[in-house]
Amino acid sequence: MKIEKLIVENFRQYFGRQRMEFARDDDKCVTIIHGVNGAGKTSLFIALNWCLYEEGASNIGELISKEAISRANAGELIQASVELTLRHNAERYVVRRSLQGVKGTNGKIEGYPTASFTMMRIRGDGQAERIPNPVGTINSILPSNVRTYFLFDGEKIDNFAKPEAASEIKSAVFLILKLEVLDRAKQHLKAVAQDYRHELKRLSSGELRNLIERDEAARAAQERETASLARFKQDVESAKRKIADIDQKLREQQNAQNLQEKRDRIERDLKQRRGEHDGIVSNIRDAATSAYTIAAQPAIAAALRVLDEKRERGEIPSSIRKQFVEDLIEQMSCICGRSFTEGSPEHTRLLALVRESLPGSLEDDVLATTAALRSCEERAARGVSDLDTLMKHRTELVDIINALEAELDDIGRQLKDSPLEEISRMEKARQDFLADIDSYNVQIGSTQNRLSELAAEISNLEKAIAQARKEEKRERTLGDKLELAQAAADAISEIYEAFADETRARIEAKTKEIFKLLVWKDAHFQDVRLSSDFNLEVIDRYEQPARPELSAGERQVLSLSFITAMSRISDEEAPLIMDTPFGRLSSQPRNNITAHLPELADQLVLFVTDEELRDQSRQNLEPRIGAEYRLEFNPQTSCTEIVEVTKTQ
Amino acid sequence: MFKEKLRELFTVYPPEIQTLIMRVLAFEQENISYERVPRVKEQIDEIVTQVAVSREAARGAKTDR
Repeated sequence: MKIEKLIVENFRQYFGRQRMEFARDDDKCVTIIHGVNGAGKTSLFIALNWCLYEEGASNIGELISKEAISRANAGELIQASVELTLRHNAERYVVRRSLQGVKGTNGKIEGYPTASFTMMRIRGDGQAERIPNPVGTINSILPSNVRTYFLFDGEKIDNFAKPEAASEIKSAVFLILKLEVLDRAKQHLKAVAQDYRHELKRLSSGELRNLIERDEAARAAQERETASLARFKQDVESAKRKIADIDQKLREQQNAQNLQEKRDRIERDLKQRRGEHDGIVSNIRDAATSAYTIAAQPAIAAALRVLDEKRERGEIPSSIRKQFVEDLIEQMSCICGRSFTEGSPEHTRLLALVRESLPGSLEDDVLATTAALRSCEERAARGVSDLDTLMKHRTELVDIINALEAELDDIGRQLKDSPLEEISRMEKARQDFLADIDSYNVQIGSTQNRLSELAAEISNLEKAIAQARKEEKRERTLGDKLELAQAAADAISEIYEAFADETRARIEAKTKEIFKLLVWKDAHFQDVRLSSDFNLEVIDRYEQPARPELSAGERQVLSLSFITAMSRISDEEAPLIMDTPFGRLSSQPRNNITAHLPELADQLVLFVTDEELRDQSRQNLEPRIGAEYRLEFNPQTSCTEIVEVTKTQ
Repeated sequence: MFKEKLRELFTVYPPEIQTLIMRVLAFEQENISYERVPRVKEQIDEIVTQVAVSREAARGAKTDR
C-alpha cells in the first residue's frame, strides 16, 4: 500500500478543506511534515488512524473544527471529514470517514454527530465503485491489529527495548506474521469439525436399512394378498358360472322347469329390491347427517322465546324509531309539528335519544337471526317427517326382501327333496356353490381390508424412506466435510510451530542487520538475538547481554530496528509513518538513522519538529524528499494551515 | 512473502486442503479486527461445504471419464 493524498475538512484545528500529497516514487519516497509543538502534527497522524480504522480519536476532545462550529449558525449542519487516497496492488482506493452534526442554540453540536464511512475503488476509466465491505478490505490491505507498527507513535519508540517488553514483542510478532490469523483458522476449523462429528453421530442409526426391509416385506405381502384376491374373485365367478349351468339344466328339466322359472323371477325381483334398499339406506344416512337441527330443536326454541320476549318488552331498539328520530332532528321539527332550534332542550333531548339507542344494524341482525332460527325449526320438522317416511319405506322393503328370500329357500328345499335324483343332486350342488360364494366373499372382504392397510403402510414407509435417504446423503456430505475440516486444522497445527520459529529467526536476522546499520557503536555490539520466548537482546563484543547498559538513544535504535525489520519481513506493504520519531535522540544517533531510514521503507512519512530535523540529519534525507509541508498555526484563529514547501523556499 | 512461504509449507497437503486453508485464512484476515466474528461457524461451514462440493464434482467428472 502507498498513500497518495490526504484531504482534511474541518478536522480539529484544520478549518475548511485542506489537502496534501505524499511522495511515492522509488527514489523520492520521503514526505516531511514539520511544525512546532501544538501546530497539528499529531492531529494529522490521528486523522490517518481515524480515517482508516476509526482509532486514536477517543478522549481527545471535539473532532469537528471549533472554528467551523463557531462560524456556523444555530441549526446549521456542520461536517468534518478525512479522505485518504491510496494505492494497493495496482488498484486505487479512496477511503472517507466523516462526522456530521447540527449546531445547537448553546453553540455546541447537538447530541451525537452522525458518522459515515465509505471506501471506493477507482476504475481504470476513472469511475468510482463502492466497496461493499470496506472494513474487510482495509483489513486485507493493512489489518487494524498491526497498524501501530506502521502508523508509528514516536513517543513509544523505545517500548520494545524495555526489559519487560517480551510480551509486547511476542504480540507484535504474533500479529504481524499472521500467527493470530493461523491460530484463529485452526480454532475455528476444529470447532466446526467437532460440530460435524456430533451431527454425524446423530444421523448414523441404520434406520434406512430397517425401513427398506419393512417396505420390502409390506410389498411382498401386498403381492400375495393381491394374488389371493384375484383367486377368490375367480372362484366366485367360477361358482357363479356353475350355478348358471345348473339353473339352465333345471329349466330344461320338465319336473323342475316351473320351480326354476319361479326362482329366476324371484331372484330378479330380489335383486331390484335389494338395490332399492341400498338406495333408501343411503338416503336415510344423508337425512340423518343433516338432522342436527332436530337435536338442536330445544335450544332453538329457547332462543326464539328469549328474542320474542325481549322484543315485546322493547329491549331491542327499533331501527325505524332511530331513523324516525334522526328525521325529526334533520327537519328541526317535533312529532307534533312544532319547530325547535339547535341547542334547545328539545334538540338536546332528541340527540340524547339517538346516542342512547344502539346502532340500527342490531335490530336487523336480530331479525335475521330470528328468521334463520325459524327456518331451522321448519327444516327440523321436515327432516323428522322425511326420516319417518324413509324408515317406513325401508321397513316395507325389508319385509318384502325377507318374504322373497323365504320363497327362494322353499324352492330350494323342494328341488333338493325332489324324487328325481338328478334334480336333487343338481340342487345340492347349487347350494354348495352358493355357500362357497358366501365364503369367498367374506375372504374377499377381509383381503381387501388387509390390502388397504398394506397400501397405507407402504405409503408411510415410502415417505420415511425418502426422508431417510435425504439424511443418508447429508451423512455422506457431513463425512466429507468432517474429513476436510479436521485435515485442514491438523495441517495448520503441524506447520504452525515450524512457521513461527522460522519467521522468528528471520526477524532476528533482519533486526540485527538494521541495528548494525543504524547504531553508531556497531563495533561494540556483535549480535542481536530474539529468543524463542521473544526476549530481544543485544550481545556485546564480550559475548555478554548488553541491553541493561544501552543508552536511551541506543534503546530507541534497537526498537526502531525491530519495528522496521518487522515491516520489511511482513506481508504488509505499507508506508512507515512516524510521529516525532527523533524527539528524544541526540544528533549522532539521529544522523545515523536518517542516513539509512529511507532504505528501510518503500514510503516514509515523518512528522517532525524543526528541532528534530536539521543540519546533517536534514542533509541525509534531502535527496530522498519528494514532498514537504509546513504546518502553520495561527494563534488568532487557533487554526492550522497546511502549506506546501517548494524547493525554492 | 509470508503468503508465499505459507503456500510452500502447505504444498505437501492435497489440493483441496490447501484451497480450504487459504480460503479460511483469507476469511480470518478480513475479520481480524473483530474480537468475536458474528456467525463465524456458519461462514466457515459455508467455505468447507463449497470445497467439499467441488471435490465431489471433480470426483464425479473423473468417474465419468
